[in-house]
Amino acid sequence: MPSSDANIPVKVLLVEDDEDDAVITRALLEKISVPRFEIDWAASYDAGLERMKEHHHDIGLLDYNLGSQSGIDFLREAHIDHQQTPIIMLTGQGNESLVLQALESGAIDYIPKRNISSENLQRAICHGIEKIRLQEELVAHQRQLERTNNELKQRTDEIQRFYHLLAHELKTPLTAASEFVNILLEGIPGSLNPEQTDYLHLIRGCCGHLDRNINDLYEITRLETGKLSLNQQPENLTPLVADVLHYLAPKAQAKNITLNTYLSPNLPPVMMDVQRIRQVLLNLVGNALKFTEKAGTVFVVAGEDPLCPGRVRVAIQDTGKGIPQSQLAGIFERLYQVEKDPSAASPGLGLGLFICRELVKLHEGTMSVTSTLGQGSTFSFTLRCAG
Amino acid sequence: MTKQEPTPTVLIADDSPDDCLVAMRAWDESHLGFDVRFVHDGRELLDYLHRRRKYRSVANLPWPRLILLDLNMPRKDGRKVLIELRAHPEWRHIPTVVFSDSTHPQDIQTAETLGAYDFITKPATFEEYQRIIKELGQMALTQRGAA
Repeated sequence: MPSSDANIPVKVLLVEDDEDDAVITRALLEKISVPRFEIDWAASYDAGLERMKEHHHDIGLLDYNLGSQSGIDFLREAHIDHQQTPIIMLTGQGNESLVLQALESGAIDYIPKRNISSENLQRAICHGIEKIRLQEELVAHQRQLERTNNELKQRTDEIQRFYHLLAHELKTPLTAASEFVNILLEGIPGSLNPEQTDYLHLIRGCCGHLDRNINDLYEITRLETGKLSLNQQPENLTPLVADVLHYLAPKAQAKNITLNTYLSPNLPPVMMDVQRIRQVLLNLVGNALKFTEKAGTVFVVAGEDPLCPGRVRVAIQDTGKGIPQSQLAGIFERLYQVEKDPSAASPGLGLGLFICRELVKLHEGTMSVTSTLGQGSTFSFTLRCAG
Repeated sequence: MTKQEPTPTVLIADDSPDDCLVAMRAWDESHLGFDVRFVHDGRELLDYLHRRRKYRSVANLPWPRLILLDLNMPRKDGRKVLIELRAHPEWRHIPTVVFSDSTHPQDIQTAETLGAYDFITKPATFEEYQRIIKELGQMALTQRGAA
């Protein structure tokens, strides 16, 4: 910053067509010891513009009256010419609207000539230079931010494209593999012994698992690129919940888990995309069954939210091990998995809850979880009542 | 507020929307005919009883036959509410049951010392919830006119 270093003189362009005024201004500037000034005097409008183009100046002092033209014209012309020199206007008349006009035309400050003094000049020049420096810094920072932002966007796009490509590349061979396993199981190439059948069922199960993970990947890319749109209609939750529980009943039976619903008999219709909310319910109830020990209980409750009218709340409560408080906060984040003992069943890619939350968000609902270690967890979401 | 309401009312103070939902469903399924009212926290509970702030101009604020109180709530903690309830000449006669996630003996001891009617750990299954609510509801109904 030139004004802080007394050794480097501040280069001042003085555009003043009145020689007496120029002499006075020069004398006032020369009285100032810090900073020192190097004054470049232009005695006319045209000379001023010329000097500005040819040399660098730290600051310009511009008289308002410049023969047939005004300081305002000068500011505009300098602006059109992309001149960056900060300019302080020296106004002869006590005209306030002139001051405003000057500032709008790009002057950084003004000094009324009747008030001109060494002190005023020093203050205005130092402030002006500092202001410009800060502005330049700000612009540089903004550019840097824009660059970083663009780079990040590009990276995200690349990741999305990679996800999509990966899902596609995995899905095609997997479909073929599954089909051949099915052909073998159907006994088309020849009969199988029980052990072979057993192994093939295992392979089919693994293929199914892989397929679900790939679908999750697809879903994520569609959610994050905003390509997933909802078909929201006023719908009843009761048949949907019944349907999902019917589908999951065998899983519950296999672990001897009691799976029940307690839906309010006067549940109002909600705005939802049935397929998407089915997906959310399948995921949440499926998780609850997965993390509940044998002979435990999972239940689904739904009713108008007692604390938030106009919303329906659906809660899925289990008697699983519960989730430590420290891990609850991140549970809906992408790729998040609760740390648990290695003996527990594989939880998949950790995309399920993230997808659920995003889907609920798209419905303008909220998703939450509460848990007590050793007692169980409750996952819940809200939906808007229709109408 | 009159003290002989045609429909018995239970006032539940709990800041967890999930617990409120489960409680509401359990009371509905109990068919005891209770009017179930919810407040978010201890301060709102006292506002309800005082008929002040957001309850000042609410026309229908039935006198509760029973209060269910969560211990850990924002703004006014359940323990502080218990103290205020016990200190009031009329409120002290409303059976107040602490309904909490806690199983800590210290919490149970504190609640009993502060005059809670009972201390119940929030059950993990809906059936258990219903059973408890049936008992509490019947208790509250037989206390009719005791105040």
